[in-house]
Amino acid sequence: MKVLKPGILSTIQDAGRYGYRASGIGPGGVMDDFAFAVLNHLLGNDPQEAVIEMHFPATEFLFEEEAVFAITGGDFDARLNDLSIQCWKTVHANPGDILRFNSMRKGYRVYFSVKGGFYSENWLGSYSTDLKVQKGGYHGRALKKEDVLTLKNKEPNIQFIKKETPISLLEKIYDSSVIHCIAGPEFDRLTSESKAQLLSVPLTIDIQANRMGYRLQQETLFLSEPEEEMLSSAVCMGTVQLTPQGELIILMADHQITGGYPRVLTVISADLPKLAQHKPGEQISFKLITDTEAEEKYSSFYQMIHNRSADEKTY
Amino acid sequence: MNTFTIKSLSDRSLLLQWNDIDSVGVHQEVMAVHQSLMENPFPGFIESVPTYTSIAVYYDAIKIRESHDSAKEFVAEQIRKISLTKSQNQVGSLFTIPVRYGGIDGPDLEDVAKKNGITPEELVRLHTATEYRVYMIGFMPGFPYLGFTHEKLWTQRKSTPRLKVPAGSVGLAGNQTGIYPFSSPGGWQLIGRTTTCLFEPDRKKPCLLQTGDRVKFIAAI
Repeated sequence: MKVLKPGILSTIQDAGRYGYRASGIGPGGVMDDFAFAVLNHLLGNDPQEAVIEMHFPATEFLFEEEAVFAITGGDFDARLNDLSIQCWKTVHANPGDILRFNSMRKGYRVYFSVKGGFYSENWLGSYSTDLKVQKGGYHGRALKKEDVLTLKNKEPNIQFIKKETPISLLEKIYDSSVIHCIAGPEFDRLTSESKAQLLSVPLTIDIQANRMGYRLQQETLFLSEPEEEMLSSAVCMGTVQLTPQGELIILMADHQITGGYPRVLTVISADLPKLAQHKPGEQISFKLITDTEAEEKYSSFYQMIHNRSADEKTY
Repeated sequence: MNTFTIKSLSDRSLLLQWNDIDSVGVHQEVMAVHQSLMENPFPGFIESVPTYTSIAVYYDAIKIRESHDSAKEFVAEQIRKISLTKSQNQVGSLFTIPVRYGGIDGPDLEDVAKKNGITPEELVRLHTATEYRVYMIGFMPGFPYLGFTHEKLWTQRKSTPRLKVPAGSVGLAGNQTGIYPFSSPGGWQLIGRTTTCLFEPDRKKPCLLQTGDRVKFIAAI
């Protein structure tokens, strides 16, 4: 496949690079775990197969070989040779077909892959692109014009199995702006007014929302005992930090391993895909749940992704 | 012996927090837990990140829940079983790092010295006199947080961070010193630069320094 137009940020990502946090190397990986898992499932690929994550404007591709592909995540008005195609559904492509994305209809990032996957660079056990170190994925960088992606599948006649994800499942995962959280390690340092505010007021996602983190616009929040500088400590994707200026940042996939800001909340794993599909200007609200509830939700979420043969329909 | 509290960091990680007085003693306990987890990982353990007075433990909650009702409780239990007496036997590796101090390599050296009422030469002498401990790696791959500097070296971060700090830059912030493995925006006060490579992605162990290692700086001619 050839890249005709690169798009603003398209990178190869998989589930992430684990085991190197203590060296300052973060897991990275896909922003939307659910879209990633379903994409590989639809295509019959290995669940760990790396995919292409795209933002808008997205990449324009030329298929140079026959392929079966699918698009999951947001809805960027995908077209194959100008014919509208559905997401969350396997699609067949012929050599010469062009895939492009015309408008940002829903969501903030899309995932694209082909049956069999693409060849890419493995670094420390993962194909995810580490843009800082410039390793992994497509030569450690975002896709550029004229880049060529080599499909692993060499079968002359690809078995085209028509599959699509039921809308009811998508609604369950994405259709809400309530983001469930657990209390972060420094939650109790907030004043009671700030706690109440944090958990009731809708918060608008700032224009600075990207793979590193989502900034939120809101009224200033306060710690009851502000410290000059907190000793740096470990964080994770979903950690909600409170800056000295009283602003909130939700750390996302490309976060730094450690941070010096108080961690007031942590977004639960089950709600990260939903958050990843919210974009600047949209509002979210936080809802606090217990650690036990959060773990239960994670478990249900995982079951939903992986034991879905009953859910999927053929078309 | 200090004790730590256990809290959730997320629904698949725990945070062990020692009382917030940073000291070598506390850090030795942090390292004891880290080393114990690396040597005898519990089923479902993914990795741990030691810092000054805490350690985060990341685990596969789904896998653990196959045999236990609560992954969090299981992991907390495994952690409580860890003996902290290993702290006596830790000796990290010692690294000697040559630094070109001042001039274009250390644009903030004179300012920091002046603010602290010492000469630039005295600053260099004090910086090279201490054997530092690597308390954590964070901020970017391979960036070591080294502690603790002499009182006369204490300084605030720059109020306006530089847009680009050259790779190899040696800096000061608070009572710590550190080295930028990559060129990056940065707010530390830069006092010198080293050509020692702190991070090489193609090495089997890409990061030169690990938490618990020791560092001594020397002035390069």
